Amino acid sequence: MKKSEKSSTATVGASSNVQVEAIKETPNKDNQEFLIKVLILSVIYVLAFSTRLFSVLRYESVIHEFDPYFNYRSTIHLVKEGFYSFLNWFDERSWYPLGRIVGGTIYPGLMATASVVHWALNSLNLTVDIRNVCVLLSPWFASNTAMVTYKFAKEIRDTQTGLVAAAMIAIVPGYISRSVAGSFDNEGIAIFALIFTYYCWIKAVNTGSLMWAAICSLAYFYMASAWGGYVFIINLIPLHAFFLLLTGRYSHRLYIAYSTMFVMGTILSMQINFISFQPVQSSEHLAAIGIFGLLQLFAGLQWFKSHLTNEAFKKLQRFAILSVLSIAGAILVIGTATGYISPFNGRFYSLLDPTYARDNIPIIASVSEHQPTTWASYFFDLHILVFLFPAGLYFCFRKLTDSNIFLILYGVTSIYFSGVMVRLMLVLAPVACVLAAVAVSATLTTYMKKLKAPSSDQNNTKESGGVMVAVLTVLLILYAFHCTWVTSEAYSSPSIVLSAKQGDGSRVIFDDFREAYRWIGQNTADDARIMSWWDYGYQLSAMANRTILVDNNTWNNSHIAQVGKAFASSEEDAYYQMKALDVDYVLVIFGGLTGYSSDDINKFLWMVRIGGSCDPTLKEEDYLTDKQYRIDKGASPTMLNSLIYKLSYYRFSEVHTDYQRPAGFDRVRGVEIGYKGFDLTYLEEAFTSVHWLVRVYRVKDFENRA
Amino acid sequence: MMMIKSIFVSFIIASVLLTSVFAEVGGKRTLVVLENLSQKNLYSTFFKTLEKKGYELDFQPATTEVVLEKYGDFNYDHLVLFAPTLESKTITSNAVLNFIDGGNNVLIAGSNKISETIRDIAQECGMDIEEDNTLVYDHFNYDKSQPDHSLLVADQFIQDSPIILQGLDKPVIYKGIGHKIRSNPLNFAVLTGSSTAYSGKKTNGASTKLMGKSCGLVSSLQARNNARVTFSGSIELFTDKSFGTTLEKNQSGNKEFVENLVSWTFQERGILRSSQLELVKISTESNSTVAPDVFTIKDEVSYSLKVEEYDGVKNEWVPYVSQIQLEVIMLDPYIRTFIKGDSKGIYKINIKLPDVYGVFTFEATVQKPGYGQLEHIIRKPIVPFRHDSYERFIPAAFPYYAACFSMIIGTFIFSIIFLFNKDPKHIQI
Repeated sequence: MKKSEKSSTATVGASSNVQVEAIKETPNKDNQEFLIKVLILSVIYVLAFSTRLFSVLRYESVIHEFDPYFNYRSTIHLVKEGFYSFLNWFDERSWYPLGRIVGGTIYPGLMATASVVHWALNSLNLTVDIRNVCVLLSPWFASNTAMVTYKFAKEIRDTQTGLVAAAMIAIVPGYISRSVAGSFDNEGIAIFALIFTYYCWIKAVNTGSLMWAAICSLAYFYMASAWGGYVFIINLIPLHAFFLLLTGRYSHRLYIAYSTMFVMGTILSMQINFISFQPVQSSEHLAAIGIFGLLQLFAGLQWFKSHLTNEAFKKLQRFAILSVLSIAGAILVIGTATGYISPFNGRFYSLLDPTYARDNIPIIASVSEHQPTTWASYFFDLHILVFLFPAGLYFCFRKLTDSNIFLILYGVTSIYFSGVMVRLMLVLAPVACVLAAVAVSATLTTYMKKLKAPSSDQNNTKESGGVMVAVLTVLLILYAFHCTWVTSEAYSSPSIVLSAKQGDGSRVIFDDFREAYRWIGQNTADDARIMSWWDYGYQLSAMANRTILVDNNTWNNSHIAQVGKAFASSEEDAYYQMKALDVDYVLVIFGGLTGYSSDDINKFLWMVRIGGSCDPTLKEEDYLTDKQYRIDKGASPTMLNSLIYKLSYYRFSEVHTDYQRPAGFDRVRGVEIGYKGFDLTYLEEAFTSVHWLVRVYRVKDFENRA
Repeated sequence: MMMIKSIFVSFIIASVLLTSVFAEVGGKRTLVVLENLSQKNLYSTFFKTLEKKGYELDFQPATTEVVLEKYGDFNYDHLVLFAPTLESKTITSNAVLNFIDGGNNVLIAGSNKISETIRDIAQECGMDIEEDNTLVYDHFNYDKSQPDHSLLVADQFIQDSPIILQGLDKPVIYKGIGHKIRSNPLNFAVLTGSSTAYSGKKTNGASTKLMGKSCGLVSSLQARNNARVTFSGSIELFTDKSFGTTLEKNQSGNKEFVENLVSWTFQERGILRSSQLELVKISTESNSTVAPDVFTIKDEVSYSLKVEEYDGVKNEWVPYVSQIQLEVIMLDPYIRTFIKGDSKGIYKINIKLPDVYGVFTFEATVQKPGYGQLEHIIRKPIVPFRHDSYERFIPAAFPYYAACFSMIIGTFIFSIIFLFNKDPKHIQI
């Protein structure tokens, strides 16, 4: 579709252009091209936005998933209370009783962007609800990303590549997965900032202009304010500079671009509360500092070289390099030993060694988006880009320039990172598009020329050209279909509202989550404290507006471990733990009736592992039979008496879920539950949603006489 | 007109509310259940003192059907169970427990035979009564005028508690069954055996593990809703006979002890209530102005609470003058302190909040056996400094300021020279 659409818009553009030209009677090829370009870009702009609206059309204008709910809640706070209040916002309703300093623990870029858009629209007397701004922000930024990608690819290669790249990124599923309407998350705007920073960087390196380097650092600042992935930029750009040095491509342009960008970018990024002194202290930023020093050294040596004899220069060079290396080494050792330079944190280790987190940090391993990527998801998220990616690399290698080297480095590093964590597929998607665009446009240019060329001595030129163009067209059409299908089927469900297809093809909607959150919001005391597994924390605080113990900002491992331990303990032990934490209600997600598989029983192994990581008395073996979590008759007694089992299956044995199955048949695990007909002593059922997805229990007061 | 009407209505509602609040304590309707009515004379002194205090006694034999609760309302405020072998259709253990959970008081007396009903009630209230046909013996502290070693002379009273007022030093005569007391802050022994006492059957001596001071004679439960349950293993404790016994020329202390015990059980003292909580910020280390009700770390705040005790004799609330414990808790107690009250029952203290932010619980408690539940909890978030709360210029940072400003000036001068300086002529290297 991309190709066909491009050519169709091209013809439309051309015909209208022809009329204009006819009136003017001054045929101007440049004007014609410009008009076509603008038309194509505007079609891409609209397309990128509208393809992300499936979820709004199919469901409604709601915020999706988990993290976006926090972003939404804090955006509302920002809009209502103003920036300074937001900066100092101490949220006493989350992480009870610790509370959370929101302003200092988030990247505020997303909320700031949304509130600026909201403010701008309202000052134009377009009274748009803040919710709609939040819902539609990501699609809008996706459109902008397409435009920036056009500039980026154009700067690297040429206009054709830019147009193809823009068209590809507009619909690439790997990016759509994080930027559909309603997915109000940092990544939505961060990819725009990322590509924009890279574009400015390439521009700065190519021109050696101070202004572009300064714009680059501003773009970097925006990126740093929006997403933790800014670390990728501050490592990739030094890597690029380093490779340019190695390949003997050092130039004053590079020196100006890097020095300006590094100094300004670092100072600017330190203005973000959450980052503060990390750029000068943490090891993740060390490479950038090192390359900065290296560049100064190199430039200095270059200058000396022009003033000294060869022999003297060699001596100086040796001396300089040795002394700098030893000083840098000494600083590193002392800094690490005194703890001034912090060691790499867990997420970073898991980037370098994919098995690190899985073995050592359960809280990182428990998040599904931190799992290693499967081969299938590469094809699912990138489709033909997987095959065009190496072709693009080939074209880049064939004609090495400063910017091509950058593209190669970006491609290679991001393909490694995407293999480590599923969610970093997002970083790979743009560069895959650009590299694929390089391949497509290079191939098309070559073979189109052959197609157009007058039949020459070699008689198969035209045929081979025709075949190549046809094959590419078919591929691109398939790509467009695949992207649309993936967007519609996989990435447009809000996950707060579930849907399933019935036998006759009609759609059933499970709106249990919102039903339950609303119930909590309407029926519990305003200061009620609700315990749930951390996944539901953000939704609870945003939708039910109640105090919660743990949420998706998993900053305090031990507090989460306490909640995990309570869920894993017996009812009586859990009762005293919950009383110590002033818990009023407990919320569990249960999918056994509907077959919703990501419920708390399936997450239970993480509760045990995270709980056990802080309290060694909680042992995973106690919950296992034959090294498996089971809830049927063969389950271990500890498992059957745990709070999570009791809360999930309370009164479940009264229900027949399937014909020809006994009562209490769990449809997720596919077994009959092992312990039936029990009563609760210390808790009482307060609410169960229609499909039993959400169950809320009230923690009873201490007994009057005991 | 409407206005006056509404004021009038709200006045009535307010007065109803007030009376209902005060109706919780101070009720006088008492049901006395006896084995049979003729036993009334055995305890005539005891009942007379009760009647003198204004209690309306309703004597019923264990065999009649008595309704404790009707349509959610209780017909009595207090229950005296002087029928150790009670097996009644209406006074079941459930009915009595329900009566207790409704905030009413129960006094139970036992002998060496105890019915299942009473065992159940006592068990539910944390007292584990010994087997039937056992008695508490003491071969050292018994009434030496008689050969019976189960006629104890007990003086191990609870100390420092409003149950037994200070100054009661005369021992009491006790003959009856022993019991074990659950270890729980709500339960406490009022009278225990001395260290030489033991519980057992006469024939085979000490057969159980219940001996010494762990052998409870009279003990009480102070429920969370302020209901009080007292169990005495000996019904003889209340008889006119034991009131009149002389022990080594002295009158036995039974009369005073029983009076104390009953007046406490019937909520004449030891019921507390709190009001007028004031938690005010006095001074702050923060430099910025935040709303006065927002507490910042390291603020100095003043905590003040008024505590009153119910006086059943005068039927009014009087100031409670003693000390209360205040804890400031976030997961762990950060501050734990005792506050002395003034003569008006006002407990006031200035505290400096910890240098930790979070939602803190200010919990004022009175943790003395015999006093009712007083647990005044208020939760308050303590927020960290705002971005503009810190000192702007600190002496330690002056080198940095100097570095910063000299750099600015230097760059400025350099720029001027760089822009406007012209080399005299081009030098070839």
